[in-house]
Amino acid sequence: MVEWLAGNRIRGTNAERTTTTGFNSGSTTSGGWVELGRTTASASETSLSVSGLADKRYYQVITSDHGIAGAPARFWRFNNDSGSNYARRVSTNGGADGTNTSQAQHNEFSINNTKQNLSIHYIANLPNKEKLHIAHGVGGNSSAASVPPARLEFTGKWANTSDAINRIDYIANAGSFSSGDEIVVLGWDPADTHTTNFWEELIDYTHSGGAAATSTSGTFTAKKYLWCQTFNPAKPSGNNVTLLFNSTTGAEYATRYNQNGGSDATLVNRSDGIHLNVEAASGTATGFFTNIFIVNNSANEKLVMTHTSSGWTNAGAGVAPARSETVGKWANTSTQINQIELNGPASGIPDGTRIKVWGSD
Amino acid sequence: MAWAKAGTTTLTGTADIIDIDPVTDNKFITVLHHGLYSGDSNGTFNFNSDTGSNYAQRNNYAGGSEGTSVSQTKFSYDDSSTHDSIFVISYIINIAGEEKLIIADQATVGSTGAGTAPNRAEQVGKWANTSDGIDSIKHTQTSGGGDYVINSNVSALGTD
Repeated sequence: MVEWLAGNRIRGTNAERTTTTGFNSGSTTSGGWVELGRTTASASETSLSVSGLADKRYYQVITSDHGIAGAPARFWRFNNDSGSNYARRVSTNGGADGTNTSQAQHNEFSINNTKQNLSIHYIANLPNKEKLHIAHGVGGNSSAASVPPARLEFTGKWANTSDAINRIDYIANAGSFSSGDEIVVLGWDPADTHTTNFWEELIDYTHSGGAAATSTSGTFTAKKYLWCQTFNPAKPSGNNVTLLFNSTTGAEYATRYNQNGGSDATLVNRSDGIHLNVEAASGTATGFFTNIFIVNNSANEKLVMTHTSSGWTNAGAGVAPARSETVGKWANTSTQINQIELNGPASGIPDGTRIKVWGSD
Repeated sequence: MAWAKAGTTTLTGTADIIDIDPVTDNKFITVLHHGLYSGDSNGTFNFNSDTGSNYAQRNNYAGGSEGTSVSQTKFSYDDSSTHDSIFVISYIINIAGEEKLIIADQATVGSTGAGTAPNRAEQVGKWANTSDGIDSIKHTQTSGGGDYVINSNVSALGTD
């Protein structure tokens, strides 16, 4: 009997391998991000707490919620410490940084947001040092593709120099979380040897057959959280490069983007996808590389955050690279993303373009 | 394949250098760096011990104006006046025949205590080498007089 895999494949990836021994065993992949704990709201919780965390050098944390009535701030605490031991720096929608010191918590989102949020956090966790915290967030702001999402850039520290983090609380300052809202805590440590990676490879696509205007990953198994990286070896002049999902063609996308630290700009009701905004002044770019996180629940708009490094107009160390930061949403509330497409100008997707997707539920 | 450990180094004493040598030559690399500073320090890194003028970068510090540097001998963190520690997440695309591109987000502790907010920087970089894959990542203190102290760590996760 043939078991068909995602995309009607019969050949599995390493991530889909069910054994690491015996015939055609392949190598194990040890030491990736491992899930340490999660808490998912059933309804009406005012705090989502993950306790008993293993002591890892680094944490990667995902928070996803569906908005809270009255749009209160969501804040964080470590080890249930409500002393004045937190400080942060934050920028919303590319605005000037603001700071807060000697706080009783990390205020995470300063966007008055009653709609969906997705945040990705990294934390350095060494007991005798202050815990540094880097986060990026996207807020749905409003339903439908007519309103652009909001974005958040955050750094924080918990000024504790005696304890490892063993508990993280994601707290609604008022109101309550709704069913399905979630915090997921992953860990990584130099001593790790496990093979239970949270992020499973879903698809690995390399474009071939000649430069094209579009390139599609192929169908993959849909997961609640997606981490994607794309690489395009060169982009000719013309349209921007965009992300589309499931080969859709409707005006279902909205984007907020920032290029090279300028002011944020927005695009709404677009059918050409979420703009990665890699276009250079002359319209061409050498290679560009994008890191992408997505929350991918069927019944909710899909929220996307991207960061791109582009070689800019010319190859070589004599030209500084360019950068862009984008948040976007696909205003589809009936299906999950199971295919990612890069869309560019004519011949804008050359051979060697990569679309790599990892995911987890 | 899934992400896997590509290399890690934790200092057991004070040093000017902390490197991963060798690092697995994966096409997709994520670097986690938690540098602990003995005093005012400025961290940098290079690939494959290449100290030629082959690096370029763009920086934004604390949401301020953008800065660029070209034809540099290393990639430099934006950690001026950092006296305590730095935490950086870097995503790197590492295809031998292509320039290597970097996306880096950093947080730094200039002064300890919750009375001082951390600093942040957003950076992108490129290593203009189009013939080699990355086989080592060397972090070096180049100015400021400080060192990396015990338990400083640099780790890499990679996948093809």
